Amino acid sequence: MSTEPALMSLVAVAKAIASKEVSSREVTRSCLHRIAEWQPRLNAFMAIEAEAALKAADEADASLAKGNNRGPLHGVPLAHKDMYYDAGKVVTCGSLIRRDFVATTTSTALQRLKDAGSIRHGSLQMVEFAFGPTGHNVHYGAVRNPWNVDHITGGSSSGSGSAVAARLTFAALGSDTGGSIRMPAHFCGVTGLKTTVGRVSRAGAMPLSQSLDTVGPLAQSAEDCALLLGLMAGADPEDLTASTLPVPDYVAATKSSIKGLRIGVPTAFYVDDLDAEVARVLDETIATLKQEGAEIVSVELPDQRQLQGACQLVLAVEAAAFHKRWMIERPQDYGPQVLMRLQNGLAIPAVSYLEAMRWRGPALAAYLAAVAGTDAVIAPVAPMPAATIVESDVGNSLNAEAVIQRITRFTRPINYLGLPALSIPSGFTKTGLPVGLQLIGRSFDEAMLLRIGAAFQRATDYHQRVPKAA
Amino acid sequence: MTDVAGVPQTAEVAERIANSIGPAFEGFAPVAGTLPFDLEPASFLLVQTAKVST
Repeated sequence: MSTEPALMSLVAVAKAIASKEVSSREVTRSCLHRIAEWQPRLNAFMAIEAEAALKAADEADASLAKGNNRGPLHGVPLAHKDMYYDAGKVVTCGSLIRRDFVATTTSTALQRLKDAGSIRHGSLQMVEFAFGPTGHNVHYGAVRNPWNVDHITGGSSSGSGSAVAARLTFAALGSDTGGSIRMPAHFCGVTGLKTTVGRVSRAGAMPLSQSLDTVGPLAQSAEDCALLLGLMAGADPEDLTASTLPVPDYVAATKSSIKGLRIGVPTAFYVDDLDAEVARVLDETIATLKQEGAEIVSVELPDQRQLQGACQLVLAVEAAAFHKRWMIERPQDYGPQVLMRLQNGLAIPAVSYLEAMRWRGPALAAYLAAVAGTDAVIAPVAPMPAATIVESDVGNSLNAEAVIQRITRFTRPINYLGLPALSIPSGFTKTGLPVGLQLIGRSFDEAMLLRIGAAFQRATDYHQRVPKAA
Repeated sequence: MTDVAGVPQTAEVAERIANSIGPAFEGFAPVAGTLPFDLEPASFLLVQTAKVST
């Protein structure tokens, strides 16, 4: 094999292992080699489990030699955001409070990937309790962007974005409550899928907001995300909020053309106050989608600022309720910024919270009416590329709160509506930072987003570009 | 308010909270107080799972 195995896509490496073109050990060693090279600069991994991973890889190879293929991810090493419970493993949730917490159960999403044959080679860094959009972590250090280590990865799935971009893992689970998959995908130049609320079980995943939390993958391509979603989605007796709707063949969906599809471009909010380079990438992406046969139409959306406000109210209250006991007993063990965000929820009246929850149905109905006749909407994930770590550090920069407010404004409305959104690498700035755009779909129509994303990725190579080690 | 929530805070923290969460209340203000009395309790799930043709 001429290509460094770690550089292959998830779909390609899984096929190569299954056909014995390459062994799980070779693949795992390739990832571990890259981790050794990159980890000191990126801080993307929380734990690296080289010995156990090689042992599991050898077992996978031995099993395959006997004709026993465990599933579509047989022998593929994966690492995930350190908030997915894995029985017997420490799961820190990026926090001091859970630094020594050993899970006694395995999350459904993770178990389904294991059942498909994947092996574990470590766990990935994250923002403390997934409550922050930049990638800073006062306890374990900021995760760095492999395209420029002075810049943020975005959060809260900071390690997932950084590690997938640097090709240290073929894919990673993230979670998205206010943009935590899409922002790292955008800032790090990888593909990230925020799923519909209820599409993937949340059993055994650290909670932040029960109404908004979603589980989803970050990977090189839409096709990789499709493979993972197909394995994870569906009903779960451990989580009755997981939908019983049938799980479509997402990988098959990625093969279809987008000729004749109608893609909406918002007339306001998502196109306001964009950095020039983000605006340029949006224009270029629209041109590519047109070239591929899609029809581009303007859509006038309901006021997205109201959705953003409602999202913040719901998130703040639900997060404070989850954390109340520790806020009383161990406030000193939180990072100051995370504690401040949690304290916000204490000041929101129950009536305001319930009003925000009651509005969710009518707000979703109004949004869907506005996008009727389109198959998806395209919008930037954020109005800017990755800020520097220094300028977005709330403890050290006077401008940081403004930066944080700006980077989260395009993601939160979608969480409030519970809709799926796919962030796809769509271009680069002149200084070499990635820019991603989000395709926003209808509830439970991830297949449409993956179809459009895959068509765009057949026409472009942004998702295949790999950052160079300095 | 934080006293009522069972996690009392200093005046300084209370002021910082007010500044921080203020924009969320402002954003939601046009909706607050406008919802109908007999809104279906599960309206979000109903809309989410409704069949839609494009």
